[in-house]
Amino acid sequence: MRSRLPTILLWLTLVVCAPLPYVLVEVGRQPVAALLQMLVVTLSLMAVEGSSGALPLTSWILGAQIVLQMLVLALIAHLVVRLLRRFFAERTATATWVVIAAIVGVALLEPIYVTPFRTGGLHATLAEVFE
Amino acid sequence: MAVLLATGLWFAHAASAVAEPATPRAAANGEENAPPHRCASYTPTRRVLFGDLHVHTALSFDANSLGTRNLPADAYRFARGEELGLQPYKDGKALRHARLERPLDFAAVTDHSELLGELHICHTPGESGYSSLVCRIQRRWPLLAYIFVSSRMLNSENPVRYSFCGSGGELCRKAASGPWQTIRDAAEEAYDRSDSCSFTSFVAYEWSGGPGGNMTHRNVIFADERVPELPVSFIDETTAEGLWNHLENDCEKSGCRFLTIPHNTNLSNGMLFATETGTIEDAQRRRRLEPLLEVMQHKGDSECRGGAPDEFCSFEKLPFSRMQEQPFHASWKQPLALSFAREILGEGLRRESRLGLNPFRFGMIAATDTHLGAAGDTDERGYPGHGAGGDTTSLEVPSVPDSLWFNPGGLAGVWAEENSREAIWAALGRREVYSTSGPRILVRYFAGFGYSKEICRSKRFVEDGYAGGVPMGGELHPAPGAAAQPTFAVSALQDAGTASSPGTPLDRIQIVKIWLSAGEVRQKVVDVASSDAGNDLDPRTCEAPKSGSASLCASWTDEDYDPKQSALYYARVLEKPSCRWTGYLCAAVKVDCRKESTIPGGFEFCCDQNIDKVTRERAVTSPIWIPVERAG
Repeated sequence: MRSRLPTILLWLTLVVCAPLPYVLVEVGRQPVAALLQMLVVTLSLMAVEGSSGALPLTSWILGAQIVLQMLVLALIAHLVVRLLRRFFAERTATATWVVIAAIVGVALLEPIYVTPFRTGGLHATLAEVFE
Repeated sequence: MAVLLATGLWFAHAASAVAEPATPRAAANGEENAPPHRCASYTPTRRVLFGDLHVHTALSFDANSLGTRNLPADAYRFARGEELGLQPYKDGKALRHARLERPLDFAAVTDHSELLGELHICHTPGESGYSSLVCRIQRRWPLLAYIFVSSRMLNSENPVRYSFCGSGGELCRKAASGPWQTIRDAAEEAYDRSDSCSFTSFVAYEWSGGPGGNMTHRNVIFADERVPELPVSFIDETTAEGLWNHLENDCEKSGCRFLTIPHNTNLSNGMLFATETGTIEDAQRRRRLEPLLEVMQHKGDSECRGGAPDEFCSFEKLPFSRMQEQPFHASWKQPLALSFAREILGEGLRRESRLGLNPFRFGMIAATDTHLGAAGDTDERGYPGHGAGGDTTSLEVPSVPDSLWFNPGGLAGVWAEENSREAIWAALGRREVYSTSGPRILVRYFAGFGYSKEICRSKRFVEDGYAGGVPMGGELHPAPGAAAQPTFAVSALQDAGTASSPGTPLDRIQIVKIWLSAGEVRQKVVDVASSDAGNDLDPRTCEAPKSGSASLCASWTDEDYDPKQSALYYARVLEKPSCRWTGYLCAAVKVDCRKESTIPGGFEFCCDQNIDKVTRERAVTSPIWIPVERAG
């Protein structure tokens, strides 16, 4: 049985870096991890202040998008690693690391995210999304 | 019958007004005491002043959440002609700037009273509550915090403050005193107390009730620097009656005078005028405290319902009835009854027939409701956006600045003897005001029972207007032996504009009549003056049209007037068609809908028939009422 590690690593990279469209009143393009961060604070606020106003609806909207996007990203990671295995065979792990490095590099250097909810501007790099 | 006059006639009116002062009839009758003469430019027959009584700055939670950094003092500086930086900011520097080519005469910063304290705490290290989860979210994801906070407090029927506000919300209520003082100081600093009277400011705020998402928002304007220690918020008082009670109690202590101005009836689903007016005392109170209605602003026009038989009502209409519907097209609904001024004015006549007093006797003004601090920035060219409740994703530079349904808003035109708080306050109280959708159109409007048919040819138009009748906002009573039908005299002068933003000629003057006949509210619109029929606007270039008239004047007698029917009449002055802000954007990027390659991303609306690219700017006066004479 072949190792699942490359798929898991690539999936985690995509979860943290892939700019995916989402809707929450505004339309944005952020990593799933950023949505997860927003969901955590929303749930925390519900725990502290009670579930008044838009908190439950926001949780549902964020939660549904997160689950869907994570599944899509898992599928993408699986397909990409299969492709890498076909082309690089024994060097699949190395190829996976190169892909991961490329994704992270672009995410850190280019403002590929659209973040209407963030202070400090609409377009952001990965570091700015999680600053 | 309509009479067209040369442009110079208006100037003759103005000149005679200065040369031959006459006391306006309203003042002479003691309906309103003439304000003290203070300014060098005191004009007994009154002059028009343009202003914006609805302005938000970074002290408003929503504006702050969308990146506005301008404070009340910045808004007043802008109103007086200085440049203003606008978001987005990069490295602390504003990427956009705005400046009024013509300063305003007066303004009021009306930041939301709700959440003034919460915002202050969240941005002041060391304040108890600064480290609370809500404040952390507000600083990190301000828009997310706004969604949470507005749904919990502003749009709730039972608003509750967050726990960091302490028991009973006392910490946040007290914390509001800081920003409230900032608002008061900015108004005081901006007010020109010298005899040059260059600018007038009012201390004010907005009470922003929105139960169920239906706006019952009201601006609270104070006559002078005497104001309560704290503003009243929707969290403290959830009804208009509660707000007025609270204000009356506060003002008894501090000696203040106030009025409240409702706005966005188009987003209220009738709730703004659902107030109880079951007794004559209620009706009197309503009439006294709410003499005005803001009928036009960024979030649409509220004069009359779109799609009505009146073709000119289809102007800046929002396609939804509550702001929450905006993102979801499938949920868009038409506003319920009493969501437009004309419907409410008619309802006032109906209630008058039951009570003996019309509770909804209001004048009409317009404003911007800017959330950028850009007071009075109504030019369709270079509209910077609303700054709250629109599309934040459109804040890129350059791009579409806001929701395509919003517009640059309008101004209040006020006929006052001088540019001072006292004179403007008196004019607001007697409703001698009108709304413009942005251009500074000059409109005089009188009604009387004995005007000469030649009043438009008279060099004493204004003096004759006051002497023989009442101005806009007034109540006309037939004098014994007077003519059986009332005559209405309207004179309008187009906005000359500026070199870079020339004005648009006038198209026509209309009189809108609303009356009660056998318990039914009826209305009709009459063209009383028209220019040529041409329309030479080229939407591809948006150059100012040449057709139309620089001035129009008309006297019109209502031959159908029946003294047994209560009636009101207001004037509407329309410009020739001109480019809407969306039209200017499309013209600037040279969109050609036949060639897809000329349509940049985000500019698809240029070829969308549902989005207006041409507009019909206008002025709408306060009505003149002719009630049924009652025995005793």
